[in-house]
Amino acid sequence: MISPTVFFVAIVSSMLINNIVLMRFLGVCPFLGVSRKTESALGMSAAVTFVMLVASVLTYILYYLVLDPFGIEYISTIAFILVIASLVQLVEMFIKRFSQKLYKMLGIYLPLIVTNCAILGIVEINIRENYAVQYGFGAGLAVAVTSALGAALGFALVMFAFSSIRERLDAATVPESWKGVPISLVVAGIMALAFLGLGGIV
Amino acid sequence: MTEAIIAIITVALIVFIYIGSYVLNRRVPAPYQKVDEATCGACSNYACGVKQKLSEER
Repeated sequence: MISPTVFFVAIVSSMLINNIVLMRFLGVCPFLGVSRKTESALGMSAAVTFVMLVASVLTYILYYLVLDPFGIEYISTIAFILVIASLVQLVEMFIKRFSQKLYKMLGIYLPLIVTNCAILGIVEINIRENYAVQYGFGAGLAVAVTSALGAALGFALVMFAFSSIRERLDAATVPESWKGVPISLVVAGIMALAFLGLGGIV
Repeated sequence: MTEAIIAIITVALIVFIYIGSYVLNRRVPAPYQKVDEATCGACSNYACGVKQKLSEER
């Protein structure tokens, strides 16, 4: 029986302390590309959360039931990318069918979730952390999913905060040479510094 | 040798699943997007599919 503390540590650690965007610098493309409006940022976060959670479950099972027992871990990266790509196709189909507004807002960034390093990164981190060896297969899967959920929530939190700031920046008086991307990158840097202050909590 | 065969079968299986999901996705029609003709006409990207479609319609 795993202590609930393990889940708490996994979720807080991956959400705040090792934030996927600001601490690990993964998933920066959608972070900068789809953060102009809060609505689209939240839609993107929801899509990334879904893909991240399902990909974590599928890749964990694939790794520990197929790749590891047969000694073919060397194909893990290509297998994981294909799993993520398939999931993204399904998510795109679902959004296209049920939320056409969100589909238009996400635009090219929707199929580009396939190349979102945050998802592949979390999947690889979950395998590298050896949760199955530490806690057993089932409990390890639960910890891996919790960790992925924390990372997804951290991604959503950062996307929401950054898009809110960018919306306010549009109305703010900014020097001409700082308008647009430069001031956004400065904001991202300050946010990363703020998250750095959370180090050492857990 | 067995390892290699299992690796090939595994990758082939996942590729098959990917192709299936891709085909399913393509079958769902994309929502109609109204194009602003003035903005489209001002753009100089002649490789753009939307621009080509618009010029065909004209």
